[in-house]
Amino acid sequence: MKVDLKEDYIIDSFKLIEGYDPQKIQASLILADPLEGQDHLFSVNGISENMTILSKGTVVDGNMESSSAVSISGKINGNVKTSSDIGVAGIVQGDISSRNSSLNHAGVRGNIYAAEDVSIDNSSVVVGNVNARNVVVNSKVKGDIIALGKVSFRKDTLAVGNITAGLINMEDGAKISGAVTLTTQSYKPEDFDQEFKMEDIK
Amino acid sequence: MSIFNAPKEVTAAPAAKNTNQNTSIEKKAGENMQKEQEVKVVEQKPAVPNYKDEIAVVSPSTTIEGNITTEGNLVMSGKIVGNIKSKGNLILNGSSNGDISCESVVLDACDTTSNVTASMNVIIKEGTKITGNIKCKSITIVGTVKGNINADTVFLKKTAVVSGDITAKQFMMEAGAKLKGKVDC
Repeated sequence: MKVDLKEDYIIDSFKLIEGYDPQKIQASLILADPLEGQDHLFSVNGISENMTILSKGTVVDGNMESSSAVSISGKINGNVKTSSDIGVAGIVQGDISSRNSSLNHAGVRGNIYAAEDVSIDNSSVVVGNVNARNVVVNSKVKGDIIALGKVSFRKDTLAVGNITAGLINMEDGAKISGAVTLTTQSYKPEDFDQEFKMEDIK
Repeated sequence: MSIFNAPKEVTAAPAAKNTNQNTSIEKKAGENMQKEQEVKVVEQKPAVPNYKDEIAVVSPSTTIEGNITTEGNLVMSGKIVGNIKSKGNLILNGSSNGDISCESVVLDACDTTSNVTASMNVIIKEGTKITGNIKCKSITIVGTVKGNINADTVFLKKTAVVSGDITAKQFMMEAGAKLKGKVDC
C-alpha cells in the first residue's frame, strides 16, 4: 500500500518521532520547479505529489530511475533517468536522461539526453555531450551538442566541442570553439560539393 | 574553487597560520601579539554547511539501485535496492532491500527486508512488514516484524506480530499482540 506524498503525511509521520518540530519540516520542504528556473535554495510550503528531491547533503551512490520529476541539489554518483523533467542544482557524475532538463549552478560529468529542452544556466559546468531537441546554453559545456531544433548560446557561454543544430542563435560575448554544422539531417561534407561549383561565376 | 570538489556555500577563508582563536582586537596582557594577525575582526573558523534540517524525498515511482546517504532527513516512498544512511530521521513508505541506519524511523505501510539501526526511535505502523533485525533506543510496533529486536524500550501494540527474540530493558505488550520468540528483559 503506497501513500501519496503530501505535506500533511510527512508532517504527521515526523510527529510520531518524538521531539521533531513540525515547523522545521515546513521550513525545509523544498519545492523546486526546474522549468521555471527557480533557485533551489528557496523554501516553499508544500510539496508537489510525485516529485523526487535530493536535497543538499544527500548523496546517491548508484543509479536512479523514476517517472516523476526529479530535483537534484545534492550529489549523485550514477545515472539519473526519468520520463519527466529534471532540475539539477547539485552534482551529477553520470548520465542524465529526461524529458526536459534544467541546470542551475550545477556540475555534470556525463552526457545529457533530453527528449525536449535542455537549459544550462547560471555558472553550470557540463563535461559531456548534450543531446536534445532544443538547447539553451549560458554556461560552460565541454562536449558535443546535438539538437535537431534550436541551440541558443547566451552571453556567458563557453562551449568547447562540435555543434550540430537545426538553428543557431548567438549573443554577443558567447564563446564557441568547435565545428558548427547547421542541418536538420546527418550529412557528409561531400554532400555539399554541388553548392561550391564556380561555373556560374563569371 | 572547483565545482566538483567544494561545497557551494561561500566559506570564509580561514586566517592563515594563526592558532589564536580570538576574534577581538583587544590585546591581552602577557601574551605575545603579532600585529598582522589582530587587524581583522573576523570569524576564523570556516563556515561549515549544516544540512541537518533538509528533507530529501524519493517519490513512489522512483527506483534507486545503490546507496543513499543523507545528512538531513529522508522520506523514502520509492524502491531502493541498497543501503539507507541518514544522520536525521527517516520515513520509509516504499520498499527497501538493504541496511538502514538513521536517528529515528517511521515505517509506514511498506515491505522491507532490512536490518535497522536507529539511535533513537523506531515506529512500525500498521500494514508494515519488516524482515530484519532492529537495534534502537525505543520501538513501538503496530505491524509485523520478522527478526530480532534489541532496544531499551519495546512496546507491542495489539495488532503487532513479532517473530524473533527481543532484548530490552523495558518491555510492554498489549493484549492481542502476537509474539513468537524469547524475551530477555
